[in-house]
Amino acid sequence: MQKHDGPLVTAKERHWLGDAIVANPILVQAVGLAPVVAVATTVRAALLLAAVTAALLLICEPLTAVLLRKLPAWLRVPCYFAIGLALVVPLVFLLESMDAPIVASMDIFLPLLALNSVVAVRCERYAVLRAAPAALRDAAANAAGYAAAALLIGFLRELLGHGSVWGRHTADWNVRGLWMPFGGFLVIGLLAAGLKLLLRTLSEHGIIIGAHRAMELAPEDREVRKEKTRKLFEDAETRRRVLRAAGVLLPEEEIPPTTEPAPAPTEEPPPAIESAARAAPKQADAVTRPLPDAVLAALQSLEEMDLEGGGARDT
Amino acid sequence: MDEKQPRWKQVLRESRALRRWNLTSLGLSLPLLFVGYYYYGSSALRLAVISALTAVACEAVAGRLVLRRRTVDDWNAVVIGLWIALMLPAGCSPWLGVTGAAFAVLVVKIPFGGTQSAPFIPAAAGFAFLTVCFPERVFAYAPSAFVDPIDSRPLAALLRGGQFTPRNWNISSILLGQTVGPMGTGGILMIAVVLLVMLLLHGRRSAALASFGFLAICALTAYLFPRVENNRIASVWMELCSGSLAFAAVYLLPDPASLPARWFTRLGYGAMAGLLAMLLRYLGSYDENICFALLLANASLPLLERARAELRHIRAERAEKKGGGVNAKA
Repeated sequence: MQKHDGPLVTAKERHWLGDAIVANPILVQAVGLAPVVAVATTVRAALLLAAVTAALLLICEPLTAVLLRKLPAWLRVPCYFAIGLALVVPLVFLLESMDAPIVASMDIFLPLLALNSVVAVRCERYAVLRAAPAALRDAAANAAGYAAAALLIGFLRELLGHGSVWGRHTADWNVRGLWMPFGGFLVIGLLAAGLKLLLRTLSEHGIIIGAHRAMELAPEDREVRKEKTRKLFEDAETRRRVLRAAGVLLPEEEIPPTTEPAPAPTEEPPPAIESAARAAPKQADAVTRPLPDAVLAALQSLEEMDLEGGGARDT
Repeated sequence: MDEKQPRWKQVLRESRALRRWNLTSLGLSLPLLFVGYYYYGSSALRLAVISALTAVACEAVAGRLVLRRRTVDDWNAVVIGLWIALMLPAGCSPWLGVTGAAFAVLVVKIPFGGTQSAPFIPAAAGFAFLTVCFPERVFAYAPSAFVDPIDSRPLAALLRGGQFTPRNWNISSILLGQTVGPMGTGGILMIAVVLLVMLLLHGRRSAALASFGFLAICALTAYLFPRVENNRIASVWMELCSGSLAFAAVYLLPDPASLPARWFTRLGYGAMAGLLAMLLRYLGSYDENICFALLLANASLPLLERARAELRHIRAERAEKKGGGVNAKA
């Protein structure tokens, strides 16, 4: 695939703080859940998790944008972990000398933060394609989003599960299940659903926050998306999978492989629908029936799944 | 068939069918409530009413806010509240019923789209939540004048501890529910009658397949691995009669939202739930693990459906290869 020389700039970056809410790492992207579910049962523990994750993000993302982007992908991921270890190991020793109980309560999950999936995901999806300032902004947004969600989860689990806030006793009753990992999943699920409901309600009233405006893609991103979608649909196996998922292709039916490449994309978004519309007549011939809207929807979901953060550059 | 009907007619027909199903479930549950009332008095009735009202209130508010439609008309909330109450001890705090019913409706049912799309059985999830959060209250069974005074511990606990001896018990008191346990799930005779009635009702008959698969696997496991010394038949009877196993098989398992569409998958689903229930009984840490088994079965149902689809696909491919299908030339 053709490589783009300069870093891509989208409208997302102009609303970076909105990303913290709309593309929240915990509640929307669902990354870095293990430590939150396992040990964020108090505000104190959640604060420690958030601080370590923020430090890792703020170091790793700019470093990736400046230095690590030149490395191949298979080497970059171990580098993130090496940086994580260099930060977390001294921190664990420092915290043990200062506040041993909190370190003990975090169990294995504090050292495991060195292998933080939030860092790996953001660096690979975003920082590797961007310049250092954009990567730093993304790191700040994700760190803020992670911290806000983790603190809220820790607060709710401490209040309802322990009947206390910041170690102070507030109630005689408690819901023991919320200490447990399943309680963490419940709280996260309910907060994620609440956030989705809130954003839906706000957008119905014309209030759009942050990454909602990512729909207004910069021209570079738009072209990249079109190209990627076209490439995806050229692949026979992917096409078969998408059509089968959309209920178009019966298991016993065969699609002849597309021999000629799809026509070059034009200018109108959204690209997924365009690609599907281009491919539709061929597939309709192949299966001798018209394609339903489900194909378009499936293609769109496939594109959204694979193209998070641009994803244009071959790594 | 249905495509010729206008959409509004289909929706109306589906909602009527759903209401009929839930009203039938409610009607079939009332005998157990009567058993609870007969043995434990008005406290059983109060718990059931509070639990059902909580479920209805939660559904009315959350359905309006989240689903943006009126969902209480199908009576499913009443059934959920009643089933949770039937699994609780009669003398427990009404707050247990309130918490369980609210959890079932607000966390398990409404966020997933309502009665027909909840991936887990809401009543089972509500009771499982109560078991995890308040085990000491959920298993603090109320005393009753009708209970056999030989042993004040529930049958499930006796079986778990390997302390059950058949000569200490008479079968009639067990069948009539005169044992220590939840307020409404011990009436085995009543549950057996309900199962027979289900077989007579059109639409319920195929749903009962899951119940039969469940009970068959439970009985087989109890026979092969008895927990009653030197008496396999007594082991089968006691396992089927103890705790909420029979109640779960007849009432909870045929929940329309999580029941597979095809009869063979229904049987497999029931059998899988039965196997999980017995595994948890033998290895679990609570006296009553049946709801966890149902939730696990619900969670693994997509795998079962997928396996069925894969098998169908493989069979179709083989048939095509044998027949040298038209598309093979292309």
